Amino acid sequence: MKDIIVIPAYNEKQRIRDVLSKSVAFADKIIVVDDGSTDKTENYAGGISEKIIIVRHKVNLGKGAAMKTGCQAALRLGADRIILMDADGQHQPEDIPRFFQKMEEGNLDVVFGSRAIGKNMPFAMTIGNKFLSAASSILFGVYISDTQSGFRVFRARVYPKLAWNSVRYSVETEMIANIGKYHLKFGEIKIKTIYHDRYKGTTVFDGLRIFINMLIWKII
Amino acid sequence: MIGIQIIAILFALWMIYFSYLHFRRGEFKKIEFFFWQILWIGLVTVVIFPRSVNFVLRTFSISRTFDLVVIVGIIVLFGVSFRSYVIIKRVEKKVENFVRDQALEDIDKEKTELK
Repeated sequence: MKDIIVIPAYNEKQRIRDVLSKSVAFADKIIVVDDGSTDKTENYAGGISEKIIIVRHKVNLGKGAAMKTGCQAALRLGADRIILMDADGQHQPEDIPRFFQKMEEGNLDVVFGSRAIGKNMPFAMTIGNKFLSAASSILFGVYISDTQSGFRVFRARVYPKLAWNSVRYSVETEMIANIGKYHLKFGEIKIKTIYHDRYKGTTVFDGLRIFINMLIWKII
Repeated sequence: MIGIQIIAILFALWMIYFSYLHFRRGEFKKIEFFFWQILWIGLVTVVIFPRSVNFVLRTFSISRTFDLVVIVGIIVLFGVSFRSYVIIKRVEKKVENFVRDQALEDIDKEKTELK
C-alpha cells in the first residue's frame, strides 16, 4: 500500500519545515505543492528527506488548484491512499495511522479528520462550520461535523469521482458534495487542531461563497 | 440640438475611432469591428434623427427615443458582460491547466529517473 501525503503550501516558510519533518515517518512520499509562494517556501521545504517532492505553481492559483495538482502528482507516482494535510502545522501527522485504521476497518473510501467544534476554534468559524455541516447534510445527505477541515484521507481509486473544480476554499465542500453524488463510503475521526494564524483560512465571505456554491452543486 | 445629443455624438465618434484602432492593431476580428461600428453609427443616427426609429417605438410601445436607447444599451451591456464572464472563465481554466502541466513536468522527470 503506497501512501502519499499532499500538502498545498502558500507562503508557509515559517512552518513548512517543521510540518514536513514530523510527517516524513507517516507516508511513503510527501508532495508539497508550492502554490506560487513569494516567501521562498520551496527552499524551506527542500533537503529534509528524499521522500519529499516539491512541485511548484509559477503563479498562485488557490488551495483547491494546489490540492488538485498534488493529487494528480500522487496518482502519477502510483499512490493507493492519499492524505491531504495543511501546511500551517495545525494538523498532527501522528493522527494519520488512526485515519488508516478507520478506513480499513470500515472499508471506507474517504476518512475526514474533524476538529472538536467549539473547542479552541474561533467563534465565527464554529458557527460557520455548524451551518455548513447542516447544509451539507440536507443538500447532499452527507453529515460531517467539520466540513472545512483540510485533514482527510481517501483511496486513490475514488479520486476521479471525488475530483473538484473549485480552485479556492470551496474545495473541501465540493469533495463532500461529490461523496453524496457518487455515494462513496465515508467516516470521520476526531483530530486535535492548533490554530497558529488567527487571520488565515476561511473568512465569513468564504463561508457565504461556499454556501452559494453548495446550492449550485445541488442544482447541477 | 441639445447638449446631451452633442455629448452622445462625440462619445460615439470617439468609440468609432477606438474600435478602428483595435481593428488596426489586430485585436479585433473583422466581424467584431463591424459589430461595434454598426452599434456606434446606429447610435449617432438615432441621436441626430430621433424620428428614424419611430416604427420601432410604435412596435414595442415605447414612448420616447431616449427610452429605446437606454433599453438597447442595457441589453448590449448584459450581452457584453456575459461574454466577458465566459472569456474570463475560459482564460482562468487555461492558466490553471497550463500552470499545473508545468508543475507536473517535474513529477514525470522523477518517474523517469526512478525507472
